[in-house]
Amino acid sequence: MKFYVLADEDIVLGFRYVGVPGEAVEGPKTAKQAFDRAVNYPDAGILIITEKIARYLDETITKWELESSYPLIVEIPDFEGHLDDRRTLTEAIREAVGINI
Amino acid sequence: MAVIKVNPNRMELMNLKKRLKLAARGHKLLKGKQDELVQRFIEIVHENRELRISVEEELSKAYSSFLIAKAVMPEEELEEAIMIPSMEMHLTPGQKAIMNLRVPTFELKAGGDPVCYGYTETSVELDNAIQIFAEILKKLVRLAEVEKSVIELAEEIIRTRRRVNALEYILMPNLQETIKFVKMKLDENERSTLARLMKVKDIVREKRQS
Repeated sequence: MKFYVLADEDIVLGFRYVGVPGEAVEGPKTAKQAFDRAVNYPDAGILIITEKIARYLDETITKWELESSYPLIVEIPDFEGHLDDRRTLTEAIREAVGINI
Repeated sequence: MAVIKVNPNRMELMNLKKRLKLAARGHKLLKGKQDELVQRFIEIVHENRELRISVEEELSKAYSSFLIAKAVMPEEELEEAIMIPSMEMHLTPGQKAIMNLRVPTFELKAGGDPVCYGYTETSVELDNAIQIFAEILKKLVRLAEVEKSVIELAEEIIRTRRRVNALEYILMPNLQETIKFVKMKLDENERSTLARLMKVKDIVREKRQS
């Protein structure tokens, strides 16, 4: 299986250097289509996605993570670092389960 | 609490008692499972947090060297350097069981040399950035596994908790209530039989005397 990246141009370029294919996503409109292409990418094992883009696709990603097996989705921060108001899915789940650590 | 509709007889009483015992045992087991799940969940959430922090740190390092590389190198050469990426990332999927839950695992195999271009035209920063990116991928694999495990565990915890609660707050009280009801009904029957017998005896005695 393979990696796949959805990010802005520079990050996709960066990952290309280490042999990870990807697609540059510009705005919310293209995000959905790109996501569909990414999850249907043959043999996709792990999908790397930036928080900025993940934000456009919140519902889709949550649904995907709960229902489907591959690819797994990992969110990463982009050049601007971790978005402050962005809760990761894991955190959301931790709250849902009601366990505080 | 609602009483389950059954015929109040001894047979049913026995069945009900059996069911209650079974429910109590199931409840105990499920409760144990839930506790263990939560324990695992906490462990894995901790690991997730540590991994995430380290990945984010390294990513920002990689980004900054990459941006510098971009700044000092002409665009065409940057593109040219990766025209033929010699590096290939292969993931071999596998499975691991956490408390009977199957979670996916991956094994990362990196093929080829990351620095696949001539050294003359490219900058040191680019080399650095690539090296860090390659390192990050390893951690990202682990992160993906861990995050998926968190999701699966959370779902299982919620499921188990629902079952524990259903047993504890609905099925078991219902059964207890029903057992009580059946017992009372049986006692009542017994008393009425007794009363009837006494009455019959009285009548018989009266007839003899007359």
